[in-house]
Amino acid sequence: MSMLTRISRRTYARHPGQTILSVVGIALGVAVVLAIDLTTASAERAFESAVDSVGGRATHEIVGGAGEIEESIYARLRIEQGLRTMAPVVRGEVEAQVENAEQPAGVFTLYGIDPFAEAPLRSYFAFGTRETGSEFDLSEFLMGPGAFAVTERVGRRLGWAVGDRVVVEAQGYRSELELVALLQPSDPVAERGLDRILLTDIATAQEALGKVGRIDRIDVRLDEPARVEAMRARLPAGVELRPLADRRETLGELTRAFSLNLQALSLLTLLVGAFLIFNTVSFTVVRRRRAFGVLRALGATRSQVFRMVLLEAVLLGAVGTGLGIALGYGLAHGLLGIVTRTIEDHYFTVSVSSVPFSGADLAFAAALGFAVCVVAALAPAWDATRVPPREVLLQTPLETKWRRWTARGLVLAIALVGVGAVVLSTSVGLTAAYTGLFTILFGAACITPAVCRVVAGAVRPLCRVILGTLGVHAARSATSSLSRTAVATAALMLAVATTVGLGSMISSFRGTVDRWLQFTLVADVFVSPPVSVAERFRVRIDPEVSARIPEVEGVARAAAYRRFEVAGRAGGTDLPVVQCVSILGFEHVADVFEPVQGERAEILERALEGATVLVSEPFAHKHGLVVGDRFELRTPRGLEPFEIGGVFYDYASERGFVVVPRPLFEQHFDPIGISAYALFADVGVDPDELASRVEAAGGITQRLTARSSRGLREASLEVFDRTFQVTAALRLLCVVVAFLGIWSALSSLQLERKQEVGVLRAIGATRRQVVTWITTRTTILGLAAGLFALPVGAAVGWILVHVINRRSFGWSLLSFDVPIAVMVEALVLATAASLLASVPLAMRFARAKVPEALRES
Amino acid sequence: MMCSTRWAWLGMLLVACGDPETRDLRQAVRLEPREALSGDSAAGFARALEPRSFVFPEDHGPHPEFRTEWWYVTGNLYGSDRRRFGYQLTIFRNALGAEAPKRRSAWATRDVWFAHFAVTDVEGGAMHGFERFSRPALGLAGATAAPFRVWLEDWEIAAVDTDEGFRKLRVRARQGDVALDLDLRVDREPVLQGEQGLSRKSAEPGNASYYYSYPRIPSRGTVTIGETEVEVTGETWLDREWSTSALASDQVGWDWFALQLEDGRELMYYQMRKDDGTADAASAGIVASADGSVEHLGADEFELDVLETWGSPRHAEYPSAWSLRVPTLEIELAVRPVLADQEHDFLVRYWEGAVDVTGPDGVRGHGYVELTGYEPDDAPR
Repeated sequence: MSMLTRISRRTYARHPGQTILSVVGIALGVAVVLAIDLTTASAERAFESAVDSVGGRATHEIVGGAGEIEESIYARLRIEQGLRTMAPVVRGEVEAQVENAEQPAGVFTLYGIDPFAEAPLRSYFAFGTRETGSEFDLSEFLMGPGAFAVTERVGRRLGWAVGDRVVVEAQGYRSELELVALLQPSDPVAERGLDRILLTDIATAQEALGKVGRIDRIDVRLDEPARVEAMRARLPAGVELRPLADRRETLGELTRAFSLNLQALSLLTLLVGAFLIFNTVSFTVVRRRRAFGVLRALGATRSQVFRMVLLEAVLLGAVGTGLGIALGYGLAHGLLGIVTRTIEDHYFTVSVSSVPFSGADLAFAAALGFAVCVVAALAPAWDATRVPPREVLLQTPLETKWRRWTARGLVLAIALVGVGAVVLSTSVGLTAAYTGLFTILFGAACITPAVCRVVAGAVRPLCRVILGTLGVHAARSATSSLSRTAVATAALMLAVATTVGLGSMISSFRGTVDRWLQFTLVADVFVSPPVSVAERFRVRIDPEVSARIPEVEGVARAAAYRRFEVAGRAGGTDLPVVQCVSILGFEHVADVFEPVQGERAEILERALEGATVLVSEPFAHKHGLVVGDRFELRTPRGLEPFEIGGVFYDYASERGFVVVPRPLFEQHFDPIGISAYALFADVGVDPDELASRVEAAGGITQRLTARSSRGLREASLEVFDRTFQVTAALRLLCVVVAFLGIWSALSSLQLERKQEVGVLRAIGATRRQVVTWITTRTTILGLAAGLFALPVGAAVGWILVHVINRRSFGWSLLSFDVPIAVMVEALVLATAASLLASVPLAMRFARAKVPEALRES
Repeated sequence: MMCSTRWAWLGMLLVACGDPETRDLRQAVRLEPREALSGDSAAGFARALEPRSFVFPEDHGPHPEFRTEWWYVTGNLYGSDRRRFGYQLTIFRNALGAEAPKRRSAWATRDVWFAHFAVTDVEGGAMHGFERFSRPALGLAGATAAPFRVWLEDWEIAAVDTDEGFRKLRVRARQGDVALDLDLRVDREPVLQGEQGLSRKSAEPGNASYYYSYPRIPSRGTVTIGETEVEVTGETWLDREWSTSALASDQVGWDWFALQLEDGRELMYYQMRKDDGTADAASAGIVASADGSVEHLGADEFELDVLETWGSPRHAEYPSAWSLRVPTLEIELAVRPVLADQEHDFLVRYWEGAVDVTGPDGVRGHGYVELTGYEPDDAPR
């Protein structure tokens, strides 16, 4: 073992607390990044594998104008046009429950296929055996009304056996199915993709999903590009051939902003971790200045010293990253439920039962952890090489040098904030927005020491009043040791600012959504079949049930919503799915549509005349559209242009949607059923009572869910809170790292100031006074960090709300606030935590014997 | 084409050919005829127990009260340059249950339809075979008696116009770059097989079908393979058969010959093979003469000897040259495939192909032969 290595080892072994803190800091950072990466990626991969499994070898799909295709179109394509590498699909989400079981088995996608058309597309239908060992019986599958199959894996997971009867509910329709076969797909990927799928004959699916006469899409396999155009040319109007990759991309696109934001927030935690590493390495360098001087005097080269310090950082990084990866996997399991639930609340149903091991994600997290450690250690390592050999004999006033440096650093830091602000205001993309935010944060962190000095100066008179000379000394001491505490304080500030920023973002969002709900939920009762978000635009109320709803006793007026999905085109880009709604009785609910700009009455009038459509703000933002622009929707007669008459606030749908006024709908689209009603109660009728009466209107035909506006508001806010659970969890992790930062800073102080304590005790300070002196000093640092974190946090919040959220989702928030509670919390967190953390250390100091303390250093 | 139970099994399997994934399934399912016919499976269906009077055109149409039926055309065709082709188009209906389901969806069905289409290109040295499955929903597959039409998607055998009825048929099929389009002039009355159309397949009553044939139909049209469309003329043999059960448990397969001789005679012989290698006593055939007379012959009146065999690359060993004699009628024929490999690599593998016929007295002819049950149980798929 070389002398250098021995020195390194001894340094870290003598300060295990410091070493552990930085390792834990980096470990937490890496863990959070990896966990977020893994969870969002597993959700996306699960979704993609489901798309691929059900798509099989299909390359394209044929979809209809308003989301569904009349089934005769399929037969025509097959017989008259001789198109054979295609298969019809009827699909829908169902909630399944085994007969007499207490718990529902969960949400599944019911897939209706025609086994005779499957061969060119999907291989997994080639199943051979049944539980009994006999062959799969086609007659049961085709003839048994309600016959269905699942993979053996699903059967095992749910404990289902052939012959089990399962009740499924789809869009309020209940039917009883019977499990007739357990499939054994030979491809394990396909098998995983079928984890949430109930497979039935197409006839069974049509009946169970209330789609008799219609199919959802036709999967097509076209291997030669030339055939694609030929086929497109032969398609009847109103249906469209599009590449299957679009389906994957569309849905991948949906969660892109969501994932990116989570990833960026996780990087913030790592940034705080990086400060901890920087702090530790700097600290050890400062501690060993003399040792380095001696080494250099003994002939060690600069590059040897540089390599030594860097190697130390790399080893710290390796341990931290290793721990972080293990921790990350654990954390990913914890976050998985929250993340997938959010995805299901907003985007699509997905089955993610486990976090798969992913080499790429792991390598990314490891590389990031290492890189952060190395970058964080570069400056201190360089600093170590600057120690001249003669310094062995000189006692250079470190703090003077530090101050000179901070003066220059301050200019640089302010410049960084400026650069960040310019990046934010001039760029358009989300990555640029985060780059700007991170630059500003880094700049602010560099300003922190200066702020500490100002704060310490400001509180000095107060300290004098409360604690006398000791207080003044403590305040002065807080700033005189900044070379060792600056970085930790900056890390603390960063962490607290992050919690303030996230807190104000969540609060601003919630405030906006709450306000918006108040003017949106104008009706008394809202009714629709029970469906997930993913199915909201596909659900239909049974025609007979639908006719009964406005007639229910106590209903004064009704607005009927026809929701549908069509393909479209905007600004030269194909939009595979545009969600649209047309409202019968629009005038009753017109208040809901609050235009982002323009004269409301005028906008609504033009829309009611059928001259223009209205679009929600996220829709306009996503596709770069403004009032007066035109975009196209695919109608049964092909693509037709629609003009935007107004853009309105909406916080319910991240994808955005289009309101097609009734005259335009009737002119361009074929009639479709009603998806939902907004009902106004007669005077004196209790909305909750009306809701239960309306639900009863569904009878045995179709179950309906009716909610009073109060109930709906609560439910909406519940979804909202769930959505921000991950953010809240990240915020909590930042707090944990911040705590570590304080500990780290205090450890530095303790070791540096032991001698000072000895002097204090020697000149007659009591133990109690020493404790007060130490705690005051650290509390001042905590307070400074906390105070500075408030404006920085508010800025972070503002950037998250007005730049990052707008670029990600296109929402303009109706309010922005930094709640008092969040600010108080931040201050309390910073000061109380440092206070609390300093007490045990201070006690240990106080107990130290005077001569011993003096002898140190 | 006594293949009813085998085809019935085929219907049970639902997976189309050509898909590598289906190989597991094919292997998993042992296509033993004896398994196919339990008493239960025939319950609810009509049985072919005694001779009936045939009524046309109704009997050209479907017989849903029976479990299975098919429309079968095979033929030898010659191009203007004497380029030689064989063809086969078979459309099967197979019921999965006796009761039609009462359901709301039009896709709900109790019948599976499937079809085999093959063109043998003698000069090209290849047989092109295709298999399809479907259901009688939305007009995807079906059969009607008047106007006569039986189809599976765009493969069909249909009357050209209502006035001519079954006299003028059109056979059309296309898959990939192989196509067939033929006009058939049916100028004779059908030949009722067996006992006035009741064709017994084993000793057990009810193991029989109703079966009639048009043994020689002048045909004209086009065969397309790849870029080349060839004008052809030739002769078609048309079989119609429906039944509920046919095979006895000890029968493993059959050899079926449908031969058209230049002297105007036609010969049909089916030999049911038992698991001990001998011919079942229920084997039978006919010899029809140009004047319209038909001789019904029993198993003991035929002498069939296999002269050569051919090993399929797919592991079956088929007979590939025969001597077929009917001593009472002084018929002695050598039968030889026009191409060795006319094996159908379908869900159920079998050999069906065009043959040449020669006799010592200089008589010549052509025909079609079907060979089933030759695949060993352990053949890899």
